[in-house]
Amino acid sequence: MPGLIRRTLRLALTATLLTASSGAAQEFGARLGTVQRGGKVTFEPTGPGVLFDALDPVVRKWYVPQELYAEYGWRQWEYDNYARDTYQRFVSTAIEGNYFYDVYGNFLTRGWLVYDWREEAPLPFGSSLEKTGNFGSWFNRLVIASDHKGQYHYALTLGDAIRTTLTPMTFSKPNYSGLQWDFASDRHQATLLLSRISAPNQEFRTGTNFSGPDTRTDVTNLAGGRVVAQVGDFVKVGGTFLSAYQSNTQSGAFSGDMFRGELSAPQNFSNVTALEVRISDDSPDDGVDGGALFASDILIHDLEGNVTRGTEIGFRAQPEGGFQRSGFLSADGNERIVLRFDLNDRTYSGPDPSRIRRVEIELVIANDYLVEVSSDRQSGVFIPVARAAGNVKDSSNQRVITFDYGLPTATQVTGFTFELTDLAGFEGYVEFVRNLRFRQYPNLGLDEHFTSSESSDAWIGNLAQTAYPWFAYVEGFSIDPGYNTGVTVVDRDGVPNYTSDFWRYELVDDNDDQDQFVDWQRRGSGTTDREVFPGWDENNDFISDFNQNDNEQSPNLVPDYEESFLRFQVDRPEFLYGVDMNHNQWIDRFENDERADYPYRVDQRGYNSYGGVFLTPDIRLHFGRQRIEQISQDRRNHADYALLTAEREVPVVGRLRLYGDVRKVRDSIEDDLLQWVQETNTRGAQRLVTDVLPAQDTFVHSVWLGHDLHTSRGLYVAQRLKWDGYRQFGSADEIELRGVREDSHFLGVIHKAEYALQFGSVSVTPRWKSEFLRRVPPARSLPRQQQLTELLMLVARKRVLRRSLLEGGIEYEWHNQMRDPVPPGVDDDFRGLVYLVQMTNLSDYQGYRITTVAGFEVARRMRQDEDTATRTRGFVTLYAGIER
Amino acid sequence: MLHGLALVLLLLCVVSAEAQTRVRTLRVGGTETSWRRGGGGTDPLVLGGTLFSPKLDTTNTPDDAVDFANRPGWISPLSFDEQINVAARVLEEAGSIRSPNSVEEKKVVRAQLAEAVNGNHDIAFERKPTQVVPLNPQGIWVILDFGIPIGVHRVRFYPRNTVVETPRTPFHNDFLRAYELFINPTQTSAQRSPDILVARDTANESPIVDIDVPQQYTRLVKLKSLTQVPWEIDEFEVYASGFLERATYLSDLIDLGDRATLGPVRWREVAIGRDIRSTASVRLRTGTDDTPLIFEERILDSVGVWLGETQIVDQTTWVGLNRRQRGVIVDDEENWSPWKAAESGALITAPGQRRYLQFQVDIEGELFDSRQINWVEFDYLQPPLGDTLRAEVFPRRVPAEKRATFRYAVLLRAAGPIRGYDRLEIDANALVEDLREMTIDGEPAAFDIEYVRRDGFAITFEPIRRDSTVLEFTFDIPVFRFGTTFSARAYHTPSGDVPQRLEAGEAADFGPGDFAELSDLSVVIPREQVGQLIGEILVDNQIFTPNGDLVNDDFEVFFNLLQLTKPTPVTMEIYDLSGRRLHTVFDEEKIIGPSTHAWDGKLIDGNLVPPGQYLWLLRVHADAFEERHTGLVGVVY
Repeated sequence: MPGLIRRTLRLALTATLLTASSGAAQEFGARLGTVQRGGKVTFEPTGPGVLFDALDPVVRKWYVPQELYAEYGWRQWEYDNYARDTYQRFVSTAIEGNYFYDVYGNFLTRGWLVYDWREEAPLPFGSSLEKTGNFGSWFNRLVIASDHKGQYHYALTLGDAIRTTLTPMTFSKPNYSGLQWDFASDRHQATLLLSRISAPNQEFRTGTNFSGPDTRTDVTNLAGGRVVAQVGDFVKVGGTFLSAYQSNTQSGAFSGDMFRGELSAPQNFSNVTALEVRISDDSPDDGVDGGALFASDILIHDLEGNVTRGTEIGFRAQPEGGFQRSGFLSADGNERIVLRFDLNDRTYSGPDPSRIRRVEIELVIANDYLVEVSSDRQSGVFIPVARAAGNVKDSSNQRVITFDYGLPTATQVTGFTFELTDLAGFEGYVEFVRNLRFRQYPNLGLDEHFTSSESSDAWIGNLAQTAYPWFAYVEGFSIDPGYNTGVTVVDRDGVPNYTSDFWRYELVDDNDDQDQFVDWQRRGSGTTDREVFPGWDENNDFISDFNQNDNEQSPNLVPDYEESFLRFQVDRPEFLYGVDMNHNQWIDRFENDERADYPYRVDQRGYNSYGGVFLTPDIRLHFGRQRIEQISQDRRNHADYALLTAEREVPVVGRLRLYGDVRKVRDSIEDDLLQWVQETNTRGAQRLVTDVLPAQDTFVHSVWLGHDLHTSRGLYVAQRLKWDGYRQFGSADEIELRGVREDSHFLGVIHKAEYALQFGSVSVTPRWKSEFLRRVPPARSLPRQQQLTELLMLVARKRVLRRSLLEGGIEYEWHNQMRDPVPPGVDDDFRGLVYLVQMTNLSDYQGYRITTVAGFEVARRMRQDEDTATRTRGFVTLYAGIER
Repeated sequence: MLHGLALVLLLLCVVSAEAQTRVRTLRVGGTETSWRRGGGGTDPLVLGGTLFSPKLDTTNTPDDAVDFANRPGWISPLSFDEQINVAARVLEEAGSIRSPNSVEEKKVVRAQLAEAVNGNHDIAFERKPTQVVPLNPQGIWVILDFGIPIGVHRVRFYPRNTVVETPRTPFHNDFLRAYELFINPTQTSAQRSPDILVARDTANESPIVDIDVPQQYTRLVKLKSLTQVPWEIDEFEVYASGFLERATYLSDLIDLGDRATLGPVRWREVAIGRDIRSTASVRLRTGTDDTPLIFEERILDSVGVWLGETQIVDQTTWVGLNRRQRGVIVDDEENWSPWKAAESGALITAPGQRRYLQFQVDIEGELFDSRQINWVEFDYLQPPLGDTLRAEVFPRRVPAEKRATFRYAVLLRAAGPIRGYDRLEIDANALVEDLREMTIDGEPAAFDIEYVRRDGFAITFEPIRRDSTVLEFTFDIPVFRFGTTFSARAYHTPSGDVPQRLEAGEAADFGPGDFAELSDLSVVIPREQVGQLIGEILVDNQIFTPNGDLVNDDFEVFFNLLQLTKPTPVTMEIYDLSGRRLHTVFDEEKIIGPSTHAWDGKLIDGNLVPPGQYLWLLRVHADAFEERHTGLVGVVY
């Protein structure tokens, strides 16, 4: 019988060897894996067994594994001779990857680990995230797994920079780092997002050497998603939920959850022994009637559920600061009232700090208050907990406010959306979002901490209808002052740094130019975008269209509208036109700010609506009204406006365009910006542009006129006129106090003409451009300007041989500064002359298209009472391209 | 002889009594010397640096930001003569001049930079490479930091032998041939406060570079060289004008010699330019000793390791300690009060009856709009009226609007000679009724009512001078606001108009419900009543007959206005049942308290409304919201 078994096994092994040797997937023969019936090799975990054939009672030591018994028998005195069969080195069994199993013990695959994220509790360093070098070097930090059948599709996307948007109010990032699981069917869609946002990227390692996962005890995670369902043919409803929460893997498995989060170990390192409440003026600029404090109290809840009221045990805060008024303290202007509750004070006879489960602060407060709270667990950082709506001065908003003290542990957004698509011509979108921010009271002796929360709501909605020739649009919104989709994440040690924006993770990023880089420096946001110029890059090459010939290899320090010859085509940014609904003198679509990209600004509510008519297919007239209020301050942006756009192509005359905007404005909301400004001799940089509030009670009128004519005979004629006017209402004193001029305006006029002439093989193009600028800025502190520039150019081209082009040009500039004295920052009168000769050659060389330019330029600038300045420039430059 | 002695004794008594009753006034300012002397006490200690690396300075003018000489006897933020070069200010403590990318011998660079702003024309800041020292002239920054923003309008720099002839250093051709000049109102931040480019010249041919800067507050002036050609700067001149944006004057620790009752603080200020663009504020604090700071020394073991314990030492000892021994310097919260904001003409809110005090004047404004302060003064009495005058009111919680009876008590404590008091002024926000039952130490006492007004009342009585004497009396008053406070001031009539503020606290035991730790001068109303602007509305008659028979001719309405701290517009209008407004009964600003109005049934044209049912609408147009109440009224005739 044993002989039969041996034979059977031998046959099986032989068969396996034959099968395996012929199988491409198994190159190590049967020495790896377990052979099953039918010759299939498996790596399922079974544990070691006993080979009956190898059960021989001998004393001598046999150094060969039992599974090789059939191959080698009992012989081990083999002589190694490599004459015929040359030596083959040992190879790693992992040369084609390791063997991986799932949690059920099923063999998954043989290969390499790419990504592994685990959260285990209770366990120190229980959050483990590993992105091996293969994740970057093989997959360039993006891996997608997907499947589909019929109408059902899903994809699991894992990446370090995924463009992800759920809704504009809840989640929108150009480079989300984490896991995104999307599902879509004909009528339903869903998305799940998971990420360890406190440390999503930096543990990424280049190279393929294994260096282990990044393990942490305190982390901040993100979990959430969105579900959308089509209801009928026209309506989509959706729900969104996201939670960014702190997690401590050392605490109990379920002590903290993804809704409320939990305190990190350093946050809960010791008990709270002192609390400070700070009351200040929410509108300090007016200097009067800030936060009015009538009374304060503290309610202390101990572990047994007893509540001790501070005033009942004679424990009161000692207020510091504030002006004493009849019956209350007032924090006016920059004055602040600080209430300090010192639990170590001798007057405190309540529960020991180690026995406190919850602390409530009760304030009777009125007027324009901002209340912030801090403790000795926060290193002097104050967190806002309440602020007054509007700028109340008569105490009519007196109320009792009660809030819990705690340290932030989670930020949550829950939203609902409703989309309407082409229902009887209506298009609409409504979104409501509730933003909850959770806090927990630290107590060293507790596993379960008391959780409190504050909420802020936001809703936005719009509805549009077009029934030609009529159209209408209405939008409304309200976003509470406290609405905040940013969360401070913990560092490697579990400490949240509330003072640094870099440690904030934003669910909605600032990315005004909608490129792949966020515009601010935040946690996990990758490279910060330094070049932000929304609307100035219409060809999407990430280069400002006002300095198109600039790039990293060949920087250009002169904006195109000031560069010789180029300036014929390119006009100054001042000649751009468009709608400025926030009345800060910048056209809205070119604005860059440093705020999360919500569709509307936080701390504002209001509406905008307009209706209009197409007078002809080319002429559109709008009438509208905008009423926006700042919620926490007595500021507003009101406007009643009419807007006219017309465009007409007239034979012989050319293309005519008109934009007109007149509005009555009362705007006291500051909209400061960070705008891209290219100073002469720089490549440009972002500059803080302060809103001087030019339209606090003002009639604003703006006109842009454009005319272009191209003829078949090579004539090109263009005219531009831009006018922006501000006329202030109010007494002279009021206007002066606003810091603006009573009448201010910008007037710019451009004329240009070009005519292409052909003389044999030489083409000659004379050009003329005239630019007049008059600027009387609204801000009194800025000087008036008025100047006229005339440009005459002549460019001649001749093709030489087959692939060469010879060009010569001359440009004459006459600049007349019409203000005396000359305002700062602009040129006085001068005459300029530029000569430029250039030869261009196109050649094919080693598969590249070689473009060679060589030339010489002489530029002279003649000023009155000064010597003529001459600049020369010679150049020979080669470019290798692949375009044909 | 005896007669002479008696006369001398009599004179001494008179002088002593005169000195006792005389109101003293302490004034700082009015003359330049007075301001500079700081009030004539212990020099103030200004604590700078960080908690663990503190810096001490003894000055009345932190940052040297106060101007004494611009207008003799007045102080204002420092202003600059537009013709005077202020670059040397960067050598003062708050300022600096540096060249961060000049990587050579730091001492040499520092010395040369200092010479470039101090008016010495022999030594310049040089960027001239030699074979021995291969200095790089290009890309070099020179940054002048004034520490505080000043109104810069002009910058000039030049090499030696140009503005001032220095034939021994004929380097007039070593001027900066290409440069950029930036300014910044604060520290540079690419996002928050980027540098502002004010001039750039890549082909400068003028040895003396003179740049007009659009005048603005500037803290940093930054020059960057853009040339490889060696250069030097003999002097870097910065011209400024206008006032500093802010300035602080800190008085000495003024020693009054003994405990004193401090009267109202007053100061005289004038605005320069538009007054709305500048502010001046005064803060005070009082103390019982002349050291408002506590100096801690760390206790070290034998090898110099801190044992975690500290001991309090005096300033001299602390300064003599080495860095490891020096502990933190913190405010002495036990003997000194926090800084308290003051208002001119009002009593200070810092604890009185202390020997030491200090005040601080802060002025903020703009370049050409600022404030000048002539003097700060306050009256005081020595000895004080009492060391403590503690008062409380009972009960401290009553329903709003209802007439309530309150018991008021004042406890006098004396720790030495005092004047006592014989008059009280008590604040209220409604008319007090039925003042009665005054007792002194439980014995009935006579008193006179000096006045009763809507904002308070005053009473006089026999002088009270004995320690621990308790004065009590009773009054009735309705309460209309949460936190109605019966704050009060005591006077000693012979000593003049210097009151002593009564502090809230335990003064008497009013029996059950009077817990000592809750003693206060504030009265609260039930929390449920907080938030209402109009309380009870009483309508005299819902149907009236305006027929001139003097019976039921008017529609009368009574209501209480609650909670408001400022006069607020209140209107009452009459509507017909279709919602058409017919008449406005009143439209006026009102303060809290009761209000009564009547409507005689006539419209604005003098005609009576037709008989019928009408709607009245009472509205309070408050800042936070508009509160409305409505009702029906019938007109019959």
